[in-house]
Amino acid sequence: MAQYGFYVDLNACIGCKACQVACKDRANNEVGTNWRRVIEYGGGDWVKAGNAWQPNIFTYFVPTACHHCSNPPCLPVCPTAAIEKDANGIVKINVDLCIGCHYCEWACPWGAPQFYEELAVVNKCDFCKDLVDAGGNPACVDACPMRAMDWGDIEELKAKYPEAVFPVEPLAGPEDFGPNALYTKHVQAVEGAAGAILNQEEI
Amino acid sequence: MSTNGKTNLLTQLNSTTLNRRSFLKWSSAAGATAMLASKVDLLDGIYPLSKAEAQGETTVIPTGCCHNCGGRCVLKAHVQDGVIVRVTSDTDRPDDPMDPQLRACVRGRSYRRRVYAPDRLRSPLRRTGPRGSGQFEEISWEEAADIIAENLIRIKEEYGSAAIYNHYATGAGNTINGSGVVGRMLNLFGGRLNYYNNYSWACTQVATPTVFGTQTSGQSRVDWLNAKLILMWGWNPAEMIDGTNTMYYVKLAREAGAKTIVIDPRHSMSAVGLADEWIPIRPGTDAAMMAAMAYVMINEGMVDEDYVNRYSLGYDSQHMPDGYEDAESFKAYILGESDGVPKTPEWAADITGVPAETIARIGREYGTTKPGILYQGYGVQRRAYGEQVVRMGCVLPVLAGNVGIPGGWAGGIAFAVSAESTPGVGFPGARNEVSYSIPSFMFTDAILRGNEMGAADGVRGLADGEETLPTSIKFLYNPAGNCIVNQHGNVNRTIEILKDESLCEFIVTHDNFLTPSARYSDIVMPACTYWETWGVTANWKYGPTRILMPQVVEPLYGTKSDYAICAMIAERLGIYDEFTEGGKTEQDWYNQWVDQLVTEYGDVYGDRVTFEERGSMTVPYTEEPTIAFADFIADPAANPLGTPSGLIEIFSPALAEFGNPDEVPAIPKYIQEWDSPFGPEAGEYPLQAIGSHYMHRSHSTFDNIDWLDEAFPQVAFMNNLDAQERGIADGDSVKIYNNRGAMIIPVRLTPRIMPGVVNIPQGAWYTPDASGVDRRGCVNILTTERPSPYALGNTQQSIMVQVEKA
Amino acid sequence: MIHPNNEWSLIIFNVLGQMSVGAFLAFGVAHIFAARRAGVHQADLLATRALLALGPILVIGMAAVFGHVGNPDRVFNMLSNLDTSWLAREVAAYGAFLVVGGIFAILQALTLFKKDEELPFSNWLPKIRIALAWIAAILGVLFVLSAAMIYYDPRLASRQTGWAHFHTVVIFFVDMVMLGALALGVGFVGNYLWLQRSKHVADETRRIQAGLLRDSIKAMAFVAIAAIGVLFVSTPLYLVYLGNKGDRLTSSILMMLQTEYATHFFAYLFLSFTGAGILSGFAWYLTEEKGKWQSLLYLLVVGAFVCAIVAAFIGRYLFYARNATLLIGGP
Ligand SMILES: Nc1nc2c(c(=O)[nH]1)N[C@H]1C(S)=C(S)[C@@H](COP(=O)(O)OP(=O)(O)OC[C@H]3O[C@@H](n4cnc5c(=O)[nH]c(N)nc54)[C@H](O)[C@@H]3O)O[C@H]1N2
Ligand SMILES: Nc1nc2c(c(=O)[nH]1)N[C@H]1C(S)=C(S)[C@@H](COP(=O)(O)OP(=O)(O)OC[C@H]3O[C@@H](n4cnc5c(=O)[nH]c(N)nc54)[C@H](O)[C@@H]3O)O[C@H]1N2
Ligand code: SF4
Ligand code: SF4
Ligand code: SF4
Ligand code: SF4
Ligand code: SF4
Ligand SMILES: [Mo]
Repeated sequence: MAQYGFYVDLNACIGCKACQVACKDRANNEVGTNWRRVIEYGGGDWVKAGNAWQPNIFTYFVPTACHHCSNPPCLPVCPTAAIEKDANGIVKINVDLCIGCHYCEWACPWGAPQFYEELAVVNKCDFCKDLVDAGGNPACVDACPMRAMDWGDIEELKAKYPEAVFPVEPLAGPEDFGPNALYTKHVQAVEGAAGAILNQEEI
Repeated sequence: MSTNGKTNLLTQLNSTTLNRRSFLKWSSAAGATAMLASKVDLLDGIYPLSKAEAQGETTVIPTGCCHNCGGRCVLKAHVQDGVIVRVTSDTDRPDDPMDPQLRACVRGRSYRRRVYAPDRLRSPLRRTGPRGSGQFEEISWEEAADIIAENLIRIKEEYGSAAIYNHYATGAGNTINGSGVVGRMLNLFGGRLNYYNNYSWACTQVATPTVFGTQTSGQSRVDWLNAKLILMWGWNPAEMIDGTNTMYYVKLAREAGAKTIVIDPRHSMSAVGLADEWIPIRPGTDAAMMAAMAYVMINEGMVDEDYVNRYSLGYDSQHMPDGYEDAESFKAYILGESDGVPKTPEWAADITGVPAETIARIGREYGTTKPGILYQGYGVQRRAYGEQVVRMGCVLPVLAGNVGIPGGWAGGIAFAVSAESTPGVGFPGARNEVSYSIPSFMFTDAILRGNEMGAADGVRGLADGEETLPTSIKFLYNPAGNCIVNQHGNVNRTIEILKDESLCEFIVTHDNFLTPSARYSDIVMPACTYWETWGVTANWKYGPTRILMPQVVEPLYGTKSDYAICAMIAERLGIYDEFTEGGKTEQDWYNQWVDQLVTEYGDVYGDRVTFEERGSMTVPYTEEPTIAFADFIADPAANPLGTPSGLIEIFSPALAEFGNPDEVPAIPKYIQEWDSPFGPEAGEYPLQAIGSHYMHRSHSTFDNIDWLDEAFPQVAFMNNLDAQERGIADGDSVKIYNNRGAMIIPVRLTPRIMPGVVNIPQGAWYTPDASGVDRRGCVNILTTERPSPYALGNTQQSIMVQVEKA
Repeated sequence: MIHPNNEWSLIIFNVLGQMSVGAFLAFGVAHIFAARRAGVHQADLLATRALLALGPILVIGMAAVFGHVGNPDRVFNMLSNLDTSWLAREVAAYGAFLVVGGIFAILQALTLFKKDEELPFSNWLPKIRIALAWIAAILGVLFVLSAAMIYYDPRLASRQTGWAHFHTVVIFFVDMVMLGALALGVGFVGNYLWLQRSKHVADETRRIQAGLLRDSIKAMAFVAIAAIGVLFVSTPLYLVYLGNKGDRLTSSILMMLQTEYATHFFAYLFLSFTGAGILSGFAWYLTEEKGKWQSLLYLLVVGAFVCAIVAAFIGRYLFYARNATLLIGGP
C-alpha cells in the first residue's frame, strides 16, 4: 500500500494563501471553512540601540491540511465508520454516513476535520482524491506560485527531501499517529524560541 | 473571523444588499439554473465529484486576470450550464523557468466570488440626493446613455473639450474593458484633457531618466540568477508581484547562490519567504542610509573612481558638467565637504533607525559583492521627496560598478529592454485633439483652479504665449477606477471638491460595484466583469506575455462591457461608426486581435488553436539575458545615453536649472520629509503610517470579496511596543487619525513591523459613519494631496498619525 | 471548535443519562435493603414510583442525543463502529439500557396494581425482573464507562490531554452515583408525600414507609458525601496535573480562575462542596432526629439534589470549556 503525503519548503513559502484558496475553490467552501490553512508563526523582540532598532524576531508560514496519518486517530473514534483510509493512504470522510458528531474533529490534533453547520456533517481535505486518482496533482500543490509544495508517496518524499521533518512549530504533537507531512524548516525557525501564532483570526 | 467591516460596508454602500447565499438570486433571473446554482453553492464541496458529474459537462475556458495588481495571470474557468463552478490556473503545461507557468495568486483564485458577488451593480443609476449621499435611482440604459451624451455635448460647447477629463483608472487591463475605450471615445468626440504620470511610480518614472536618460534600465529576470547579492529595497514582490513569477525568480536566484536582503519597515512576506536578512528602516529615510553606504564605499576605497568618472558626471568636483564646475559634487556632499555633515553610518543611524554597524556592513557588502542588484520598490518613492531615493538608488550601482554587467542592475524604474517586449494589440489610434496634459495626481487642482494652472503646476502642451489651461475640469469620467475618491490623496478634501456641483458639473463612473468613487458620481454605469466579455491582456511589468480572455459567461443582469457602454454613448454623440468601426462587436475585435498576433508573431504564439487552448503566450527567455547599458559600458562614446551629456548624470544640470535646490537638488540627497517623525508634526502625530499594497486586494478592487477578507482581513498592523504605550491590545478597535481625517478599525499587534510605524494596507473602501470617521480603513483618509516637488507625483506614503484605543 | 455553548446537548445527555443510571442502581440497592427489612411489597411501594419517574428523564436524554446529531435520520449509523468507537459503544449501551431498563420498569410497575400471583408466568416474574435489573445495571455502567472513555480515550489525548486523566472517569462515575442517589432520594420523598395523602394507604404502611424513607435518605446522603469526598481528593490532584502539563493546559486553570469562566468555576465548587455536601451532611444528621424536623429533612434532600445537579451542569460546561487544544485551531 502506498502512503501519500505532502511536502512544503517553508523557506520558499511566502504565505500567499494561493493554496488555501485553490483548495477552498475546489471544495466550494464558505468563509470559515478551510481544508488547507496557512499559519503565520513568529515571535521575538526588539532591542533599542541608541536611536536605532535591532530586531530579534522571526516569522515563517506553515501551510497545513489533513496529514492523512498512517495511524489516524480520527478514524477509529468515528461511530459511523464514515472515515476510510484508501489504498493510497488517503484518509477520506464519507459524508453520506457522517452524523456530524464532531468526534473526528476532537481526535485530530491538527484541526483538519471541519464542521458544516447547514449540512451538519464534517469534512476535510481528501487529498484531492478525484484529481490524483485521475493522474493530476492536488489543487493546492498546483496553485503554489513559489513552487514550494510537493506531494507523493511519503517514502519517496523523504528520499527527495532528506532534510525535511515533521513536526515544525506550531504543529508539534504526537507522532505516533504517523502524520504524513514533511517540511523543510525555515532558516529563521528558532529552536525552542517563544513563538506564537500571529494570525489566529485567519485560521 | 472579522467580517464586521464588510457587513458595515455593504449595508452602507449598497441599499440593495443581498445576503451571502443569495448569489442564487441572480440565477433565478437566469431562470433554469437556479436549482443548479443552489446545488453548486451548497453541496459541491461536500460531494466534490459525484454531484459534479451528475450536473453534466464541465467546459474549461482559459482566460486571465488583469487588474492592476502587479501581475497578469492565466485563470481557467470551469463552467457548468453557464455557471462558473471552479477556477484553476496555468498548470496544464510544463513549468519551465525560461517560460514559466503564469500561476494566479489568491485574488485571481477567488475570481468567481467577484463575478457572483452579491453587491454587483445591476442597473444604471442616476444620482437623486446630493453627491456622495449614496441616493440613486435605477434608470434604463437608454436614459443613462442619453444623459451622459447630453452632458458631454453641453460641456464641450460651453467650456471646450479641455473641460472633459478621463482620470487615471486602472481597474481593467483588458482591451475591451477599462479606461482605454473611454479615452478612445472621447478622442473621437474631439478630445479631452490628458494626464501624464501615474499613481504608481511618478517619481521613478521622472527621476530615472535624469540619471540614465531612459526608463528602460532593467535586465531580464533570468539574469538575476547571475547575481551574488540582491538588496530588495522597499521591494516586496511576494505581495506586490511586480510581474507574475517575479518572486519565483528571486527564489531561483537564491538557489543559484544570491544572498538577498530586504530593507523595509515591515517584515514583509518577501522578508519571510525570499530573504536571508531583513533590515527595518524608518520610512522616508532610505536616501540617508544609501548616502551612508556611499560614505563607507568611498571612505574604504571600494569605489573605482576612474571607472565612475569615465561613465558619469558629478561624482567629484573634477568631473562636473560644464557650467557647474563650482557646484556641490556628490562626493563632496557625502563626505560633508560642502555642508560640514559627513554622511557617516552614525549620522544615518539616528535618521534611519538602522544601527550604524548594519549600515556600514551593508555598504561593504554591496561595495564588494559583485555582481549585485539594488532593486527599488515603488513604495519608497510614493513619498514626499520620492525623487531623491530613486536617484540615490541609481547612483549606488554606478559607484559599485554594477551597471551594464550580467548579474548587475542599474536601478530606477527598470523596464526591461525592448528585445523582450512585443507590440500590443488594441484599438486603432484615435488622436486626442486637445494638447494639454496635467500630472495625474493634480486632477483635483484642475477641478478647483484648472484655469489658473500653468507650467509651474506641471501643465504640459500649452501653446506659445498661453499661460494657463483654458478651463477647469467640468466633466469627470471615471471608467474602471476608484481614484477620484478612494485612491487619491486626502479623501476628505477630495469629497469637499466633488460635492460642489458648480466646480465639476458632471461625473460618470463605470464599475462593477458601487464603490466610494461611484457614490460621488452623477451616473453610474454597471459594467460587466471582463470574464463576461471578450478581450486580450498583456504582462504587467515583466513578460512579455499576451493572455487571451474570451467570454466565460454571459453578462450577469444584462450588464455591459465598457466597450458596449461607450458604443451606446458614441451613437448619441454621432461617432458610432468610427468608434465601432462599423459595428464591430467585442468578439469581432477579439478575433481580429488574436489573428493579428498569430500572423505577426506566429513563431511565438503558434497557430490560433494552440494559442487559444493554452490561453497565453510569453516570449521565452533565452540563454542570453538582456543587459541594460551593456553597450554604453563597453563604449560610452559610441553608445551615449539619452541624457543631455550622454553620460550618467549623478549631477543633473536639468535639475539644477529647475531652481529649487532645497527640494530638488541636482545631486541626490536625503531631505527630511514634510510629514516626518523629526518635524513639529510628530508632536501630535508621533507615528509614521504606510499603506502597503495588500494581498487582499488589487488597490480597492476585491475589497468586497469574502474569501479574501477571510484570508487577509483589513486591520492596522502595529508593533507591540507602540501598543503597550497606548494600552492597546491585539484585536482592539483603534482610532487612527491626523489633521486630515480619522478611521476606526481593528488592530493586529505584531513583531513584524518597526516600532514607530503603523501599516494600514491601502485600498479599503472609504466607509464613513455619521461623523465622517471611516470604518473600513481607507488609508487615504489620512494622506495628502501635496505632490512631490519635481515629478509632481503622489506622496501618499508619507503620513504621520496618532493611534488610540477607540 | 469545541466551545461549551455548542455542547449543550452533550451536557444534557451526559448529566441526565448518568443520573438515570445512578438512580437505577440506587433503586436496586434500596429495593434489596428495603425488601430485607420490610418485605418485597413495602420495598415496591417505597421505590417503584420513583423508578418510573426516570422514564421521562431518559427520554429527554435520548432526545438530546438526536439534538447532538445533526442528521437525526442517520442516527442509526452511530452503531456502525462498535469495534473501535467509544461513542458507538456509548450510544449502543445507552439504547440497550433504555430498552432493558424500560421492560424492567414496566414489569416493576405492575407491582403497584396487581400481585405477581395474579399474573401469567407468576413463578418466573421475580426472577425475570431480577435478571433484567442486573442486565440493565450492567448496561448502564457500560454506558457511563463508554461515555467517560470517549474523553479519556488516548487517541484524543493529543488534543485534549486535559481530559485524559482518571479525573474524567471519576467525575462521570461520581456524578452517576451522587446524582443518582440524590435524585432517587427526591423520588422517594415525592412518593412518600403522595402515600401520605392517599386514602388507600394503611397507617401501619405509612409508619413502615416513613422508617424506610429515613433509612434510605440516610444511606443516600452518605453515598453523596462519600462521592463528594472522592471529588475532594481527585479535583486537587487533577488541578496539579493540569498545572504541570505545559502552557495550554496550565492556562486552562488560569482561565477558570481569571476569565468569564471564573464565576462558573466558583459556583461549581460552592454548589458541589458546600451546597450538595453540607446539605447532605445536614440531612444525614437530621435522619437521627425524628418527628418535627421531617419536613426540613425533605427540603434538605431536594436542596442537595438541586445543588448537585446544577453543579453537574456547570461542571460539565467547564469540562468542555477547559479542554485545551494543544495544537492549532483554537479550543
Ligand atoms: N497585492 C497587490 N499587489 C500589487 C498591487 C496591489 O494593489 N495589491 N498594486 C500594484 C501596483 S499598481 C503597483 S504601482 C505596485 C506598487 O508596488 P510598491 O509601491 O513597491 O508597493 P508598496 O506596498 O507601496 O511598497 C512596497 C514595500 O515598501 C515598503 N515601504 C513603504 N515605505 C517605505 C520606505 O519609506 N522605505 C522602505 N525601504 N520601504 C518602504 C512597504 O512596507 C512595502 O513592503 O504594486 C502592484 N502590486
Ligand atoms: N494611499 C495610497 N493610495 C494609493 C496607492 C498607495 O500606495 N497608497 N497606490 C496608488 C497606485 S500605485 C495606483 S495604481 C492607484 C490605483 O487606483 P485605481 O486605478 O483607482 O484602482 P482600483 O482601486 O483597483 O480601482 C479600479 C476599479 O475598477 C473596477 N473594475 C474592475 N474591473 C472592471 C471592469 O472590467 N470594468 C469596469 N468598468 N470597472 C472595473 C473595480 O471594481 C475598481 O473599483 O491607487 C493609488 N492609490
Ligand atoms: S491529520 Fe487529523 S484528520 Fe487527518 S488523518 Fe490525521 S488525525 Fe485524521
Ligand atoms: S463527525 Fe462524522 S466523520 Fe467525524 S466522527 Fe462523527 S460521524 Fe464520523
Ligand atoms: S489536497 Fe486538495 S483537499 Fe487537500 S488541502 Fe490540497 S487542495 Fe485541499
Ligand atoms: S501557495 Fe505556496 S507560497 Fe503560497 S502559502 Fe501556499 S505553500 Fe506558501
Ligand atoms: S490579481 Fe494579479 S497576480 Fe493575482 S491572479 Fe490576478 S493578475 Fe495574477
Ligand atoms: Mo500602481
